Amino acid sequence: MLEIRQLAAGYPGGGRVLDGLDLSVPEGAFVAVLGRNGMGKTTLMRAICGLLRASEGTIGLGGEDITGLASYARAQRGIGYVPQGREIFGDFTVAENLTIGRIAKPGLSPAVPRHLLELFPILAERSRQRAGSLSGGQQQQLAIARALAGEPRLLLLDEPAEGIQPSIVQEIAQKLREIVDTTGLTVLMAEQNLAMVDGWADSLAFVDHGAIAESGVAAAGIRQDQSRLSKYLSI
Amino acid sequence: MIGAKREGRTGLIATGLCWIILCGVGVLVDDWLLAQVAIYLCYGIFAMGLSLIWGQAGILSFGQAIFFGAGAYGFAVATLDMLPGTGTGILTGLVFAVGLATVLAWALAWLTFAGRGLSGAHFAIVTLCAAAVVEIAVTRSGFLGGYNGLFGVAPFTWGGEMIAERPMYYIMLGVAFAVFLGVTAIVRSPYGTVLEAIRDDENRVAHLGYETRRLKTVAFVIAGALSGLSGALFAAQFGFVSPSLLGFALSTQVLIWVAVGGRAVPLAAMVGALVVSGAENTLSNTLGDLWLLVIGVIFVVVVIAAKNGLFGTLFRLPPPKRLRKT
Amino acid sequence: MELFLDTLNYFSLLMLVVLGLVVIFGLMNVINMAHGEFLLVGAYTVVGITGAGYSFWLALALAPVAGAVVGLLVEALVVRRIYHRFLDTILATWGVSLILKQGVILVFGPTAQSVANPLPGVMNVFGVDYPRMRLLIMAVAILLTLVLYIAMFRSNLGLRLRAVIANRDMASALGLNTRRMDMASFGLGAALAGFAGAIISPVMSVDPQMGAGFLIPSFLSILIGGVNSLIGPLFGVAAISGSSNLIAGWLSQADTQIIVFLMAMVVIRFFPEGILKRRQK
Repeated sequence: MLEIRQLAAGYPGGGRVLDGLDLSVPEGAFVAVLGRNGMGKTTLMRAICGLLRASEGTIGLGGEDITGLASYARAQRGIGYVPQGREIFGDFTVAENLTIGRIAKPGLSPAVPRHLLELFPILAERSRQRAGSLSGGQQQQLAIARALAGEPRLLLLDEPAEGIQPSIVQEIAQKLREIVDTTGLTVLMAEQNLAMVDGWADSLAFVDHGAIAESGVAAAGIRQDQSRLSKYLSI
Repeated sequence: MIGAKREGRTGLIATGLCWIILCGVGVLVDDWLLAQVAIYLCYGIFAMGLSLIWGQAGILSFGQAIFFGAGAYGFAVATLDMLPGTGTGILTGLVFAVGLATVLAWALAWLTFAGRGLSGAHFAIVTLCAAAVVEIAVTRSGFLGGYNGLFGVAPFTWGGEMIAERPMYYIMLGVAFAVFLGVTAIVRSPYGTVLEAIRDDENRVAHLGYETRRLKTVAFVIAGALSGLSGALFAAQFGFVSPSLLGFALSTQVLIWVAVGGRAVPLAAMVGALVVSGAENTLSNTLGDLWLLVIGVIFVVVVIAAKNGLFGTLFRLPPPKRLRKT
Repeated sequence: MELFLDTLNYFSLLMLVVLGLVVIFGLMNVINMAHGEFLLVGAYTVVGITGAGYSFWLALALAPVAGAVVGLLVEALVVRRIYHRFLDTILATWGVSLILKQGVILVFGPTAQSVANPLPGVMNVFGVDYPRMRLLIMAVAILLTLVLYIAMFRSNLGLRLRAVIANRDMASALGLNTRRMDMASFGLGAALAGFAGAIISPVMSVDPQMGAGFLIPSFLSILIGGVNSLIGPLFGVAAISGSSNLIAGWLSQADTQIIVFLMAMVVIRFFPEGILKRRQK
């Protein structure tokens, strides 16, 4: 589904954050990218969804080269993005947030499908409320539901567990797993919180200094893998 | 780095040549034209002041003519003996003019930079608005001659006689050169480097522990004082002052001069003022209304495509020694 | 009563101009100094078309089209190239305003033109005899403002627009074509200004400076109301138009301008985020 070759990217004046990064995510897989802060997880996510231009390398989605496409065109080709810090539209209602996720996708009617609301009952309940008034965990669910509303082929999540209480983290991880199992969605998630990963993701990739240091590591039991944890996460 | 070094040397040669040519103009050109160029030199000083705050510190002011006009009116009011106890001395007039502009610049800076300070857009609009207010207010002021302005401003004299065009030109050239040296010294000093950093990212400079508000205020006040000086010199040569000297129109005109010349290099800004106002004078006769259209197009193109203006690259001096890579 | 109608008149006109400015600023973070000249384009479209013998109403229909065409050209030739350089957009659009103004002078001359009033006579409203044309202007401007606001908050198109204004990157990552929306909103803003210029042309003297007269009040309205909200400018426009007409009751127009501008500057100084800015959530 996703093929990244020799990707380099960075910020103006800030030098390269990613350099020579290779990663491939097969269709229907749930892959988590782990690494310390500043190693390039968020940069990778932004480069895939097109908010940051790659200076070198290619990004392929389902066999198509999307490296030169603008962010909106990538979204229309099936990339859903849940950014770090959620970035929901706080002044809009919950329902409007979900509609926005759908409205710009070719071939979709603007009405939010029922099964999505059933998956996140709290959002259905609060649909007319201002999104900014939701709790952190609810906002995170909204950000995920907003991305799913566009019926993506590939879902990118950037630290969805950040700032959320542990019980909700479990709930969100479980839902993600459920979606992957039932719909065949491909998921790429950047995380540091092992509770979001262990037992939920299929495989892991470790990012270190802007490149993938190791990939295809089984996610189950990572919490006991002391050598990798200290090497890549300084735990 | 050899290329950069040579570029700096070209800048040094071009700068020297420019001043030599300006000296030569004083010998080669007839009196009437010389008087014109002397007035353009006032604009040049005005432009160098703006280049300090805009080119160096990134403060986009749409109200610089307030200070130019304050200098012009200040000089006129003082030398026309409209203020009690000042007499009609030229020197008193100059001091009063520059003082007035300085105080006004400080007041505007105090208002706009205080607290968290106004962002670029807010600052631009507030200064624009201030220029409009001042222009309307002066138009309404009977004391300042209202819409007609003040006539009969005294020219510079020496031993009771009016100074002729040629010596006057060299006096103006001398003042312009002194201002050039001063502004260039500021730009090249460590303080100038901090201003440049403020232009690029004010928050970052503030986080490094600099009091950006005070630093910007100082630059703004210096620019205001230079504007006041140029306004006073203008009034003395032009002989009369009117509300258009402190309004929106002149404020934006100086922006055009500086943008077209090259905002970040003082001499480029000055040459921009000389060239554009000179061209305006010669071309507006032949082109008529088309001239403003032409200068508008040039201005837009320069803003879009040439950040250094037409002369910024030519007159760029080598970087100060302390910033040179060894 | 007459004071109220006068205020409403000014309010609704300013609102039409400000709406375009706000959307352009919110969407692209561009301060469009040429917006006043889009007004000019509309007014002179009327001068040209009625001068050629066609009816005012035809001209009124074509003016927004003319405004939109000019707006789209400005967007494509100038704004698009520099919209990430904030201060330069102010300068470049100001240069554009100079060009447009001068273009008008070249074609129509620098003197004021007059447009025949297509709706002469007065009508009695609330016990006051008020010119019919002014009443029409008011009604149309208010209606248009209402329609725009309802569209903004109730339609999917409005939702897209608000999403881009609220968070450009996120909107783009959700598939919204931000470039196309920039163009559309620039065109729409210019069309609104063109329409405003056309509809006021019978009651104002149409001259090359008429756009400049709207520039400062409309910017002040936006800054007073707050730049990142669509409701804020409504209050800003109300404050500017209300205080202008109130003070104009006692003082000359010039003194009124001084006082209103000074008050607005003080407000902007102490509420740089606008009066309506919510204290951080």
